[in-house]
Amino acid sequence: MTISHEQAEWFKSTFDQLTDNMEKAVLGKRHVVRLALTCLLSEGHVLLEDFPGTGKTMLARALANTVQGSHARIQFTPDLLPSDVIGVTVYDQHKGTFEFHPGPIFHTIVLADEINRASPKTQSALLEVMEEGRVTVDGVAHPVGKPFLVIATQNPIEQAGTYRLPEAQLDRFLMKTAVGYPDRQATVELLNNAAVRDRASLVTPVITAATIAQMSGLADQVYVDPAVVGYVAELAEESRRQPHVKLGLSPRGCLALVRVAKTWAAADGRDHVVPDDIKELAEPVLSHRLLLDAEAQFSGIDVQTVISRLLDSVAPPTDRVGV
Amino acid sequence: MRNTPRASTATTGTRTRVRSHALLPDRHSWVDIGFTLVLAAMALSALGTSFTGSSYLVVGLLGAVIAVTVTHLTRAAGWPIISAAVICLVLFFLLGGPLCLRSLGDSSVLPGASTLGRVADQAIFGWKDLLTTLPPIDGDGPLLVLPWLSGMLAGLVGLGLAHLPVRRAWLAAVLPVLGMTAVLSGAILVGVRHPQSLLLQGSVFAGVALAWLAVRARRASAAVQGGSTSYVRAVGAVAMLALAAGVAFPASAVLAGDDDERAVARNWVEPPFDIGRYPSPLAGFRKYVDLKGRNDPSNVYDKTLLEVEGVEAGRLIRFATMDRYDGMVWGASDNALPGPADDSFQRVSSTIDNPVDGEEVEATVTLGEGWSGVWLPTVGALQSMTFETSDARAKAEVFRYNLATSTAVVPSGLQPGDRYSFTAVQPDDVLTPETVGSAETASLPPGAAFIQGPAEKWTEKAGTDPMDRVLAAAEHLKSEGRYSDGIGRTERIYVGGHSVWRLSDEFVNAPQIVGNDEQYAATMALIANEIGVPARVVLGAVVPEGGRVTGKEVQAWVELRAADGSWRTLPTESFMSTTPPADQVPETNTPMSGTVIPPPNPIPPPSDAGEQSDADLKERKATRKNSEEDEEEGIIPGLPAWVGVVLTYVALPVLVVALLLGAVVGLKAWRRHRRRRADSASARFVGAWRELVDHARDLGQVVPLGPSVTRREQSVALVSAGATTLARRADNSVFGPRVPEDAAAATYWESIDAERRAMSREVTRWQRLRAAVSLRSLRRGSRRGSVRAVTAPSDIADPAAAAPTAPGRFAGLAGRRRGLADWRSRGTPE
Repeated sequence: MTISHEQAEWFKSTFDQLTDNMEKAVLGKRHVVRLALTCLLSEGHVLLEDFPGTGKTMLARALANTVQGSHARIQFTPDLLPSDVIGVTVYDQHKGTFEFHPGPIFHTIVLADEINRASPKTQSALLEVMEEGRVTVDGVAHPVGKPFLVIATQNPIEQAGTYRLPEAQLDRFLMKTAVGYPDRQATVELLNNAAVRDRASLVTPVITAATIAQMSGLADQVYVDPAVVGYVAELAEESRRQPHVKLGLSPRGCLALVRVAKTWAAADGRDHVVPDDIKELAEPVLSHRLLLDAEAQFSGIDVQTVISRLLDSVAPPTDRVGV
Repeated sequence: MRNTPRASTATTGTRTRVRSHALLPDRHSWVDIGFTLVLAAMALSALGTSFTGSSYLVVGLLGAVIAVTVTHLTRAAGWPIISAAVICLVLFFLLGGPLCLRSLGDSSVLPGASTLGRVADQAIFGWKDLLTTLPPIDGDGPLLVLPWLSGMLAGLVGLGLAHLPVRRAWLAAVLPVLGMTAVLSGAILVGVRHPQSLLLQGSVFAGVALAWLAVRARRASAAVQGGSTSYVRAVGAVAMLALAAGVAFPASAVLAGDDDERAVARNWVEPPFDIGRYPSPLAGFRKYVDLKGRNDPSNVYDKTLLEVEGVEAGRLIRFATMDRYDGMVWGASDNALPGPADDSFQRVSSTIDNPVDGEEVEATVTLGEGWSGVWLPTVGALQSMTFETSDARAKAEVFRYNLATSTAVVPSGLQPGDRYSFTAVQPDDVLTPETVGSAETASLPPGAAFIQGPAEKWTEKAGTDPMDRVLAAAEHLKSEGRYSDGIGRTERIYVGGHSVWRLSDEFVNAPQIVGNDEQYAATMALIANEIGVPARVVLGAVVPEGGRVTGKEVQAWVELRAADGSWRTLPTESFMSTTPPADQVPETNTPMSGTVIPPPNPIPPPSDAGEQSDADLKERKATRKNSEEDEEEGIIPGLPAWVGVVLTYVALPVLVVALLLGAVVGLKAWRRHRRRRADSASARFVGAWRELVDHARDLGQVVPLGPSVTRREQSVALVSAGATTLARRADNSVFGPRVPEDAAAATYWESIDAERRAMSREVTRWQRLRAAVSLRSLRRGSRRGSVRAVTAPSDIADPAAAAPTAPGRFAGLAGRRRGLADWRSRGTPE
């Protein structure tokens, strides 16, 4: 079953409303906002990596505020324990039983601020919940509910006292993107409204969790032509053959790319994916999944360069398959 | 502070640093300048056999010094090498007039437009003149521009390459030496086959070049890596010498071989002169005969042809040598001898390199009223020539001489009163019974086979020695033949000319051999060639007492080639009878009267209009052209001739161009038809979009192409209002969940057509026409997409890092990309 044209149009208008709402807090970053919303509607998680003061936390809080649901913020520190994130089982003397006290992860939108400051043990506590949407404590599984989105931030320049996210953890994130500095016009507007200390408070909820779930369902029904699927498969194969790439695109990465492309297409009011969706989303979806060798680092080749070469190496389809 | 980088501003350390050098050369620069000038001088000395005097060397060295100075100064100023080239070019033109064109008068010294034009003309076309002029060339003539240019080039190339920043030490050492070697090779190439300074050109140049190579290699090695070990240096030196030897020995075999093998450019350059277009003077021999009272204004029997001073009486003076028989006439040719000999008519300067042993002659000739044409009478082997008329320079410039036939011509024509002096060497040309004939054989035209029978018959008693047989044949001719100029009433049957018909049926095979010098000399030369002794016919005169040569003294004789390569004279009297024929009654037995005309010749006798100059030929050509135009009938009956000319020279090319343009338009129409009629509706969408892109490319728009570019990316680059919408429509139809219908494809094609028309309306009519016939969309676009900043491995920050793996990987990629392209374009005709 494929999403109808009317449904696609409704999806687009709702998506645009969400984007406009979030732009009240995050000025001049419409593309990043759309990427974050795409992640939310694709039931994935987003990793924001950028310099301090560029609005990572603001984006996360605005996203949390725009959805009518609970949200929590976890400030990751070196002494943070897994139980501080997922919760702990405590013995109730009155009832004479062990009761589970859920941690901050049990919210609709969770902001994991400076995630790389926590120890690998604490970071690993997120593995299960980000992949399966549940937490298992003392053999008992506790679902976190839907929708569920983790927005993590990390600072690329501060290395002291941080722990690099393991590849398995990185693969849990649907996208990795940067906010970037605002342009001049946005900066001027930001300064003119300097009196507003917390711009995230300007964002009010405009969508319910149920609607989010409905939109996610619609995005799943977006049609992907076999030619486009073949294009993604070719990209994955080619990524493993690219020079300086130690770890190419995994099948989970391919699934992520197709899933995100579906939501991206629906947000554009389409009932199908086009190759341009794949090309546009390649960098945020692939950048944290490709692992380069040491020679590339010494040569100054970054992952963006490799992705550009990858996209130039593989020809996108121009016609459908099987006609 | 020489040769050290100097910061223009050192306050921030971030400003651009300009590398500059001191004005005065440092030690290394002095060495390079010295070697450059020495090698330039040696290279220029290769032109020594091409020019007289030493002016060429002075001018060339001056050019080299100027170029070296300019190159050094521009480098000291931090300017690029191209600036030195530009400055040298300016100086070349400014100083070229005063230095090289002094001989042309004061007007050529000032740097006016004509002077600059002449300098440019000599620089560009002078090489051809140099190669087609018999060396040595006057050392003060306009061709001095060539050594001037060569010197400048040598200085610029030598020092420019020495200063070229090259990373590889060995390359930095070798480059300037290679440059100077190229200059030397060029000088040798335009030189002569008989160099006088082979030792200087080869050995000394090689020694100096190797010394410079060693100095530069040592300097570069020390600068780069603090000096190599002695072992490495030794190996490097041996390798360099091996390389030099490997290049030098094969090259020397060609460039500096012996006289016969030496390859120079003048071997291949064909002189732009064709002696064959001038009528044979032998064919007009009857203008020199006694008309016995008949009046003919062209006859010069009694008229003065020339007055000769300095040549003793009885000596032969040569008008022309005819060495080729074509069945009609004996004529002069440009290829008298087999092989690469100096046997063509070449331009010569006032002195001629013509090494011949014999008696020296110094003569002055004044042409008389009876002389006209292009042939210049001379004696022996010419050594120098000086014209003494008002247009002496003009005549000297066109004067040509054939070393092999000792024949001189002035193609612009000679007039009565022209005066010239020359020096010559009269070789020993007496034919004796002991003279051995040359073993070389000359080929005769098939028509001349008639001479075979008489030659064998007349010489059957003379044994087998070719020269004896020739002399026997001459004796037979003299004894059996009779002399007649065909003037007398009963002798008019003995017509002029020496065609095959005249010499066979009417001479050697006739009941009586009758003719004059023309027929006797022509036949004698044919017989000698048939027997195996190379022979040629010479038209000239015997210098009488007082030196006044009239038509009466003119005669034709034969020259035979001896085994030593010299030409020996077979005098006219040795093969020609002077006995007149007995009065004969024509076979028709018809009494001759004033109204009776001698029988017509099957082959018309050659014109007796005499020799003609270029001006005469042009005039006759123009006259013939006019008469042809008057008489010519058009190609299309009933239409004037000019219509045919227009059709041939205008309509035909226009038709060809129109066909080509029509083919382009047709090809595009066929392509559009295929796209519109593709099998699937989806493919028609794809084809329609490509049609729009191709139309934009034909209109001159820059559209990203290549396999990695999508329709939307192309639509952004298209200057078209509806391109983005159309790209989305195509994508929606192609990649949408429903298979597109034929009607939708047809509608889309209509939209594309409308958009194409809208795009065309935005440009001028001329641009529309150009777009219609443009080949741009028929050419394949770049394989790589141009919309991304990074598209190729070369864009990687450190190409060296990617180099070892990239080629193999990308070679594999290309194949996969082709496969994918094939897969994606199934059913989508392109």
